Amino acid sequence: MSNEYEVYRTISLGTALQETLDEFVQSNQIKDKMAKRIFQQYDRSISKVFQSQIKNKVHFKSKLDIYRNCDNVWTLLFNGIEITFTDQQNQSIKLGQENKVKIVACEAKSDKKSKYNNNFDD
Amino acid sequence: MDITQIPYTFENAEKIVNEFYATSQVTNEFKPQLDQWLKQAQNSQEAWVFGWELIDMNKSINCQFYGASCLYNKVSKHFGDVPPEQYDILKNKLLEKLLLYATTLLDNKHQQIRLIQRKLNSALAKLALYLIQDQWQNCIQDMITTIPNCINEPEKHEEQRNQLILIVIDLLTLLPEEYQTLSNLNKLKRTQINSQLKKNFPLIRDYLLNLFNSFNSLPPNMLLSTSSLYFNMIENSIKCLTSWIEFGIQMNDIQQFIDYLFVYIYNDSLFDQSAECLTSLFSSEDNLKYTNSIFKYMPKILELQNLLTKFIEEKDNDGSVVLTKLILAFGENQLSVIFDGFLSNNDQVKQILLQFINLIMNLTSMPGNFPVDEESSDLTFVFWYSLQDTLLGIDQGSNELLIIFRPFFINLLEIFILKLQLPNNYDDWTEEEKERLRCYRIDIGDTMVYMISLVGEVMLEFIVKRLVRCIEAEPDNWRIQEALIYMLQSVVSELNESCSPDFSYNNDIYLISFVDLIPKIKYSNKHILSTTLLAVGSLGSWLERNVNVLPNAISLCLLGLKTESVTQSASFALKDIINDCDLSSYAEQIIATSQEALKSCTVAQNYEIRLMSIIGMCLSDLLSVEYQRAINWLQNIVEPYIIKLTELSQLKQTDKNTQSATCHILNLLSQLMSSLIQRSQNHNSTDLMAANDSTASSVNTSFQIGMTPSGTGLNSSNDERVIVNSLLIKLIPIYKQIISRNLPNDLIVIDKLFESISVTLSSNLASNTPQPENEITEAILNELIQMFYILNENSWRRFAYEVCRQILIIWWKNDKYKSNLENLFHFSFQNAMKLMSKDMNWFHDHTDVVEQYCTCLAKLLKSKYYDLFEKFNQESLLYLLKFAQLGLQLPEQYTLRAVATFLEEFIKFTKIKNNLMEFLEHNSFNLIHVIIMGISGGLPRHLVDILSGILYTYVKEYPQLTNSILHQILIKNDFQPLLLVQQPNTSGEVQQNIPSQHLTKEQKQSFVKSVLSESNNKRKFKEAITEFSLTCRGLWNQYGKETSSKY
Repeated sequence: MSNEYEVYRTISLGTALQETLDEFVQSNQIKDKMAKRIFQQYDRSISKVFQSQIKNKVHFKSKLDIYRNCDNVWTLLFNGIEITFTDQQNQSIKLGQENKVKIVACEAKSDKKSKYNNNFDD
Repeated sequence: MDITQIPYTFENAEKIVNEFYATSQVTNEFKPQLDQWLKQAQNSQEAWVFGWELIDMNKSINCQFYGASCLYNKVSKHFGDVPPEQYDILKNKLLEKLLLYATTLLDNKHQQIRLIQRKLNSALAKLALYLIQDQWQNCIQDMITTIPNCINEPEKHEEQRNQLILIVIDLLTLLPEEYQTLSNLNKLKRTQINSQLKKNFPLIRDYLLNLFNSFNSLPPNMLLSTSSLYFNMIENSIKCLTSWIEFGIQMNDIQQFIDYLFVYIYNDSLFDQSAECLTSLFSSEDNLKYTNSIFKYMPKILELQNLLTKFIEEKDNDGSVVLTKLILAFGENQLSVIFDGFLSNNDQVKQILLQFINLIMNLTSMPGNFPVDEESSDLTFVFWYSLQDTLLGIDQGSNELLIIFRPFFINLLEIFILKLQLPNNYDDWTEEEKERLRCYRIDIGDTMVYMISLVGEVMLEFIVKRLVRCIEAEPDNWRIQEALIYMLQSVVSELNESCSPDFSYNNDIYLISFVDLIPKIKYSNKHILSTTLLAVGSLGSWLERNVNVLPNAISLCLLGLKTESVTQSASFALKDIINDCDLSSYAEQIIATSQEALKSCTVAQNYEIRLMSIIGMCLSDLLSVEYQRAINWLQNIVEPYIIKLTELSQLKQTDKNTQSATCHILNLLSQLMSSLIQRSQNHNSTDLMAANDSTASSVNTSFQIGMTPSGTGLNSSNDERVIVNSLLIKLIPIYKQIISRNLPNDLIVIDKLFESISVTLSSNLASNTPQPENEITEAILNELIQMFYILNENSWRRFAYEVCRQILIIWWKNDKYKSNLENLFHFSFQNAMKLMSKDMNWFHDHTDVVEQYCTCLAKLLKSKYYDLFEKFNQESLLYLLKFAQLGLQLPEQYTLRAVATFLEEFIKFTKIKNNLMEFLEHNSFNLIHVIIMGISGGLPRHLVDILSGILYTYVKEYPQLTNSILHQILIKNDFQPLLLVQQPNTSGEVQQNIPSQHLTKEQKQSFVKSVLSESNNKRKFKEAITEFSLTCRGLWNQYGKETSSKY
C-alpha cells in the first residue's frame, strides 16, 4: 500500500531517466504523454522496490535544527549527523556540526483511518 | 542485402518467419535483422492482409502464430485503420478463425495451437472493447450464446461443447485484462467502456453461476482429475472471477460465488486459484466498505485453521504462504469491525474474534525456523503493526481496547523469543538463508519497537525477568538467552529516545539488572557474545547517566576485543559507549587491549581505523587526568607506525602492497589525530583558554626527540592540538619523502596523503580555539607549504586544494605568514589554470579537480578572504572567469554546483570592490552566453536550477548589465536554441546539433522582462527560467512542467 511520491525523481536514476525521456520526446520517438506515464511508473516501481527490497536499517543521531510537515512530506534539517548502517558491516558516517543535512521523508503507509470512514453496507 | 528493404508481403513474411525459427540455418548475426523486419512488418498496413493469410492450418505453426500476433497487434494498436463499415467483417472473420482453432484443439494437443487460439481470443476481446459502446453492444451476450451454439451438428459431442465453453470463459477473462492495456484511448472513452463492462457484468455473473451450479452436480472424480475438461472449466471460471474482481466488480455482485470458493479451497488442485480469488476479494479497496458482509465469512476463515494444520504437517510452505496471505487480507481490512466487536456486549462475537486473533497468532508462531522450515510468519508482522497503529489512533473505547489487546501483544513477545532463536544447524545454512534470517530478526525488532507505545515498560520487565530466569534455570541454553538479549537490543535505543529525559525509573531498574547479568552469562559461542556486545553498545547514552554499571560493560567489550570472531561487534560497542561516556578511569585498559588487537593483525582495515579512533578518544580522556602516561601511550602506539611509514617511504620500488600499506598507515594516523582533537572539543568546548606557549613548546620538543615530557598536567583543549602538532612536525618530512618517491606516477598515495592531512586540519578548523602561536606551528606551516612546491601539475588533485584552503584559513589571520600564503594561493591558481592548457577532453577528465578548486575559491570568498583575491591582476581574473566558463559546460552536477557557487560569490565580491565592477561589466558577455546555452538545452534539465542561481545573482547585483547582455544575446543576435540529441543514422549513433524550437522575438522579450522583474523573488525567477528552458527544449507541455517540480 505504498503511496507514490515524486521524491525519487531527483536521484541519479531519476535524472538519467529524465534525460533519456527528454531526448525521446524531443526527437519525436515518443509522445509526451507516454513520457509522463513512464515517469509515473518509475515513481510506483521505485517506491515498491524501496519498500520491499531494502531491508537494511539506518540509525542516525543528530541535532534537529528545523522541521516542517506539508502534505505528508516531512523536511528535517540537521546540523551534522552520525549515520550508522545496521548491516553486517555496521558502517558509520559522521559529519561535523558545520555540515547541514536535509532529510526529506514521506509517509509510506496510506492513511488507513480514512478507509474506515466509508459507509457500511448492511 | 538490406533486409529492411524487403517488401511486406505474405510470401516474404512466411519465408522470414520460417527462417527466423530455423536456428540451424540462420546465423546469429542475421537474426536481429530478421527480428527487426518482423516487428516492423507487424506494424505495417500490409499486416492487415498477410496476417489473415498466415493463419492457415496448412502453414507452419510458427507462421500461424505470427499471423495471429499480427492481427492482435493491428486490432490492439491500429484499430483506427478500420473503416466503420468493415467492423462486422473483421468481427466475423475473427470469430470464424477462432472457432476453427477451437475445434482443432480437440484433436490436436499441440501447445502452440493453444497459444494461437489464445492470441485470437485476445484480438476478439480487444475488438469487443472498442465496439462495446456503440457497434457491438451485445458482444458479451453474443460470446456467451453464439460460440457454444456455432457448430451445426445435431448432437454435439460433450467434449466439443466444453471446449467451446472454455473459449467463452477465456474471452470473458480477457475482457477486463485487455481493458487495462487500452492506453491509446482517452479518459472519457475508457470510462465509457468501463461502465459498459460493469453494466454487462450481470450476464457474466449469471453465466459463471450456472457453470458453478452445474459443476456441483458432477461426480467428484470428474472434478478432481486435473486432466478433465471440467476441471479446466472450474479453474478458468475462478480465474475469470478473479479477473473481474481486480477490474473493480464489487462484492455485492458476486456474493453467490463466495460459498463455492470456500468449498473449492479444500480441493488441492483448486486451492491456489480459490485462495487467490478470495484474497483479491478481501483486499480490494472497493470492497472495504462491505465490512459487515465480509465479517459474515469469519467462521469460514476460522475453519481454515484445519487446512493450515494440514499444510504444516505436510511441510507445504507454499500452501502456508498463500493461506496466510488470504487470512491477513481478511484481517487487515477488518480492524474496525474487530474493535467494534470487542466493545460490543455480544459474547459470541467476542469469542469468534478471539479465535481469529489466535489464528493470526498461530500464523506468526508457525513451527520451525524462518526461512528454512517456514516462509510465512514474517507476513503477519504488518497485521500486528496495523493493529497497534489503528488501536492507538482511535478515541472511543481506547482504554478498554488497550486492556483487551495488551495480553495479545505480551503473548506475541513469547512467540518472538521462539522465532528469534538461531537454529542448531545455523552454521550449515547458506549465506542467503542467513541473510534472510538476519532481515527477519530486524523485522521482529521493528515490530517490537512499534509495540512499545502499547505495551510500555512491561516489555523491558518481561525481557529482563525472562533472561534472569533463563540464566538461573538453563545457564547453558544460549539460544534463548541470545534471543532475549537481541530483543532488548532492538528496543533499548527506542526506549532511551522515547523516555528521555525523564527516563522511566522502572526501565532503569531493569537495565541495571541486565548489566548486572553480563558477567553471569556463559559466552559459549560468538553469537551470544556478539549480540550482548551490540546490546551493551546500544546502552551508550543510558550508561552516561549510570556510570556505576560501566565496569561490567567495559569488561565485556574488552573480552570481545580479545575474541577474534567478535572483534567487530566489540569495537562498535566500545565506540558507542565512548561517544557518550567519559572513560578516563578505563582509558589505559582500553588502550592496552586495543593496541594488542591492532598488533594481532588479524582484523580488517576498517576495524583497525575504528580501533585507532577509540585509542585517540581514550588518550584525550587520559590526558586530562594522567598527562604523562597519556604521552607515553601515544608514543608507544605511534612509534611503530612512524617507523613502518619511514621504511615504506624509503623503498626504491613500490607495488600495490606497499601502496596499500602506506595509505592504510596514513589513514590510521589521521584518524588518531582527528579523534584526539575532536574528543577534546566535545569535552572542553567551553574552555577557550589557550595553552601556555612555553609549556607547549617544551612538550613538543621533548616529544620530537622521544624524551619523556616534563610538563605538568594541563587541562585545556589546546593540549591535544599541541600533541597533534608535534606529531605532524615529525610526520611531514616523511610525507615529503613519500611525495618525492611517488611522483610522477603514484598519484593515489599522494591523494591519500593530502586526504589524511585534510582530516587532521579539518578537526583543527572545527576547534573553537586558535592555533597556538609558537615555533612548532610556524614550522608546520612552512613544511606544509614546501610540500606543495614539490608537487607537479598532475599531482595537484582534489585534496591538495582542500588542504591549501585549510592552511589559508588557519594561518591567514597572522600577518607574518601572509606573504608565504599569498604565494601558495597564487601557486594553486597557476596549477589549476594549467588544466586549460590542454584540450577540452583533458578538462572533462578532471572534473574532480575543477570541483575542488572552485569549492576552495567559493569558500574563501564566502568567508570574506577578499584580500587574497584583490592581489589578482586583470589577466589572472580573466583566466579565472574562463576557467569557470569551461566549468559551466560540464554536466557533472556537483562540479557545476561548485562552479556556480564560486561565480555567485565572485559576482558579489566584484560589487563590493569598485575597481572590479568595471572588469566584470567588460567580461560578462561570454559567461552569460554560456549560461543561456546551458539553460536552453546545452545541459540536462535537472542542472538548469544551478545555472539559474548565477543569473539570479547577476540580475540582483548588475540589473542594467544583465539587461543589456540578455538583449544582445537573445534579441540582437537572434538567439535560437540548439539541442544535443542522439540521432541514429546508418553509421551508428552520433551526437548532432539539431534546431529545436524556433523562439519568437516576443517570447525572448517576455523572458528578459520576466527575469529582470523578478529580482526580489527567487521562486518566481526560477519559474521564469524553467519556462524558458522548457520552451527552448520543446518540452513546454504537461510532461515537461510536471517533471520540473522538485522537492
